[in-house]
Amino acid sequence: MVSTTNRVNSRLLAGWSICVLILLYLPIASLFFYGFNAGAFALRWEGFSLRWYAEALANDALLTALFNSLAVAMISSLLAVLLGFLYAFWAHRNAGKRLAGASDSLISLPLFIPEIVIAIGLLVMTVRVFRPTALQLGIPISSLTAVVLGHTTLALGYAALILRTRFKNYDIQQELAARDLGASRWDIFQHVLLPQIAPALAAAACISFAVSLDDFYVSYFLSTGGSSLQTLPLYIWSLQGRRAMTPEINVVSSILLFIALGFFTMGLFLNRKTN
Amino acid sequence: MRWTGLPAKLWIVLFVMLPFLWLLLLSLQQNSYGNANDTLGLSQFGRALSPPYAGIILSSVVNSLLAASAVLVTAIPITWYISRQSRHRQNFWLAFFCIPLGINFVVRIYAWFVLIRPEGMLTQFLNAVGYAIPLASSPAGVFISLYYGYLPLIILPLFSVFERLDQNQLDAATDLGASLFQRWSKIVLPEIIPGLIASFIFVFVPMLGEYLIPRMIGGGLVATLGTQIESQFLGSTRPNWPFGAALSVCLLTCAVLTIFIAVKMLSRRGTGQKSTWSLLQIG
Amino acid sequence: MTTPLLTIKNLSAALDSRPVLNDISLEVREGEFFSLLGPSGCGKTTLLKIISGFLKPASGELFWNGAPITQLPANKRDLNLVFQNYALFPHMNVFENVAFGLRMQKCAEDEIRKRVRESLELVRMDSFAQRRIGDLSGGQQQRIALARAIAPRPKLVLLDEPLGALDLQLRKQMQVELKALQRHLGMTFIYVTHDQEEAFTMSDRIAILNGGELQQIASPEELYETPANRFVAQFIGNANFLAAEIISETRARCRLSSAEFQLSSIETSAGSNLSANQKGNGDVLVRPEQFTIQPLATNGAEHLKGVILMRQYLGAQIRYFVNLSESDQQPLTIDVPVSARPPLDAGTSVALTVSATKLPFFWRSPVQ
Repeated sequence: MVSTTNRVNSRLLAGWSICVLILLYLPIASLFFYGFNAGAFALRWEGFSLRWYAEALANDALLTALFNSLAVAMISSLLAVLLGFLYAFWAHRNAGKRLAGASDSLISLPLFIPEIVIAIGLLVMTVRVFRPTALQLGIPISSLTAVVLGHTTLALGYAALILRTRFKNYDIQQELAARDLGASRWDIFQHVLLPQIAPALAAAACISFAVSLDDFYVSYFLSTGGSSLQTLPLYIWSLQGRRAMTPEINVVSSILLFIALGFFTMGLFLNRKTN
Repeated sequence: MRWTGLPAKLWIVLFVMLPFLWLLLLSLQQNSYGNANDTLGLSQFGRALSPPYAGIILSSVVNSLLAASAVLVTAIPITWYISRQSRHRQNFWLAFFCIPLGINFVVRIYAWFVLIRPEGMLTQFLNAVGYAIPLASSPAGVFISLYYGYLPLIILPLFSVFERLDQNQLDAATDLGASLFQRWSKIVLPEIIPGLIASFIFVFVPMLGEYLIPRMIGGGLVATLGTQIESQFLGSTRPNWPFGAALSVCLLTCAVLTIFIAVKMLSRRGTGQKSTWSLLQIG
Repeated sequence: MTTPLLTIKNLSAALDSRPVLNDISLEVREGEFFSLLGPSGCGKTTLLKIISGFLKPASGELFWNGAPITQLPANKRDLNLVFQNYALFPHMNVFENVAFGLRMQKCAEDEIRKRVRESLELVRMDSFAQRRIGDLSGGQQQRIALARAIAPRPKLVLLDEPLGALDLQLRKQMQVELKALQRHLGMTFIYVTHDQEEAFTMSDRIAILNGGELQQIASPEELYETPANRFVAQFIGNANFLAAEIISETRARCRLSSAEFQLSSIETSAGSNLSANQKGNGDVLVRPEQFTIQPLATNGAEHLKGVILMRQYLGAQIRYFVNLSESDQQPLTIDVPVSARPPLDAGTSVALTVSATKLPFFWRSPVQ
């Protein structure tokens, strides 16, 4: 008796889950397919064609946005992973001390704050403080620099979280053992620490990359004020605001979709493997 | 090697904490552009907490609360179901629910937007079945889009809540004669409530600060905290940074308040989740 | 006399400004199995860390074959450590773990392969070379940790409670193997443990530590028969203390309220012989097996009288706990071979005699 009700419940639950999955994927799938629309309007299907893909690849504005997005993501994910690694290294060695808990909260702060507030704070600081101060020192802060700073801030929380979790399984005694067997500090880093942390570093880099590619708020606020830096999400945003939408927006969206998704899933996969 | 923790901490202080303090200072300035020699005062907050802005803040909070609750209610049966599957199947289901998280938010919301436009599939369908609710440019549309946008975000945290639930306890309860309802009310709920609150907060806070969804879906006709903040900073007509800062401080206060309450409840429940990171311990 | 391999002179150490080692001096000879024994928190692990070079002492010096090594960093000392939790490298297989020390010494690849194989054969793990660390059991990991420590052929191997995590059966077996291995290699072992029995079964000499102070360094026999103080006496085996008064050079009188009897063959601690004019109160140490026990027949004053509180069957022996009559003394522990005579029941009144050639005596209050 119990098992039959369980089975019925289980069927109902599975059905519900599948319905929700369909709801989640349906819009994205239709967005993707309308990218192959032959017509000039985003929303009216007029037959299959690769016309808009061809046009997208010849579109300078799009290519610039793509290049900007990748460049920003590259620099900020490298920075975030470097900072996150150094932090996790330190926090692991000082775990249990009172300061360590407070530090974890500090580093994870960006994860708990609405992105718009971070973006606005950075906007105000950049315009009122960073840019004038740097100018006095003779360093111009471009939109690119400002956006990189913002994306690194967003990604740092994730990178630190991933690395910190990985470090928890790393036994510090190994380093004593290695030292005892004659290893120098560099030997320990190279042969003991790095091989064990490397997959988590890669995971953190992928997730940071995806966070940067995904970001809308920081880029929106920091690049709209002053000289503009067009990233791919901002480009899509600008297309969406137009009155007559061509399938170009579907094509651009699909391109961004696959790049970001690639990094995201790779990051998740690597992270799962390391733990 | 004592210095290695410093760069990251310094970074957060410089690019998160300091901007907050600056916003706070800015919000206390009386003038509309906030000069340095301004007198300080609370007039911007007075304006933010009186009509029409008080109403906007309130409706943003209510709308986010409703949308977050809807997301939670939708996701509970799903994550419960996934958590009762074998390891292998769990990974399979979770992967499907998490993939949307890797899809750019602008893209995903735009894809959804297409569906709820007047000529979109969903609106057409609703018209066909006799529910002609205008979704685009309406608060209802913003609500349903918040729901769509944040649903995938709650799956992992909620899953880890159910995953930690001890099956032996449930079996013991069944063995002692508890019915399905009794098992849920006496064992499951008390165990998972802290986790439910944490997961709720996890979607509620970003919803509250949402600008992209109300702007795109609302088409400039639905005013929320997010859109108001944006227009005070980047708006083409009469930007007012101190007032925008005051609104941001209000938003942040709401967010911090909810997180604070949640952390308090979590630690009082004594589930051993001390660090704020445990709210995020997923996967 | 040859120079000892390791000499520690007047060594003191503190952790977080709390003193943990106080004025330790000891010598470890080449080829010796030397144990550091003491209860947890006695400072033995700190001492081990100082010897291996992970901690710097607050004061005092270390010598290696007579040369000072106090300032030498851990990776430059010709000694290797077997960690309590093994601390194997999880990302390397067994072979690479054992080869690590040799690689750090920049050995040639052939040499590494040969020495790793030898080391693994010594711990009987040669067929496991390609296994992953995570796939090994605790006992197997223990052997790999040992192989890793001996592969570079150090002069000295330090073992930090290496058998602590193993179950009793395996621990006993490993004790035998460790001792045999040490003999075979002729290496010097310093073995840290809190387990008295473990130290006894393997060690040539044992240093007993308590509260950061060195109590005694001696062979197991010496420690048991002539402990330097009450702590050592109690820490090693079971100890019964009888309040007594010295009455002559080798005799003491135990005076209880109901009886008075004399013990002969008394020796004071710390080697100082009793002199006839030394009088005073103290305690005589009697080991459980030094008593004989029989049902009380006569009421002679030459016997200790008591009542059996409890009987334990220990296999080869029977252990009695005996409450002395009319005395506030702790119950005595008495071991009798099983075959000796039919066991006595709890509640039986018994007479005790002490049969020993030497009994250590500890002054109760310090003598001039």
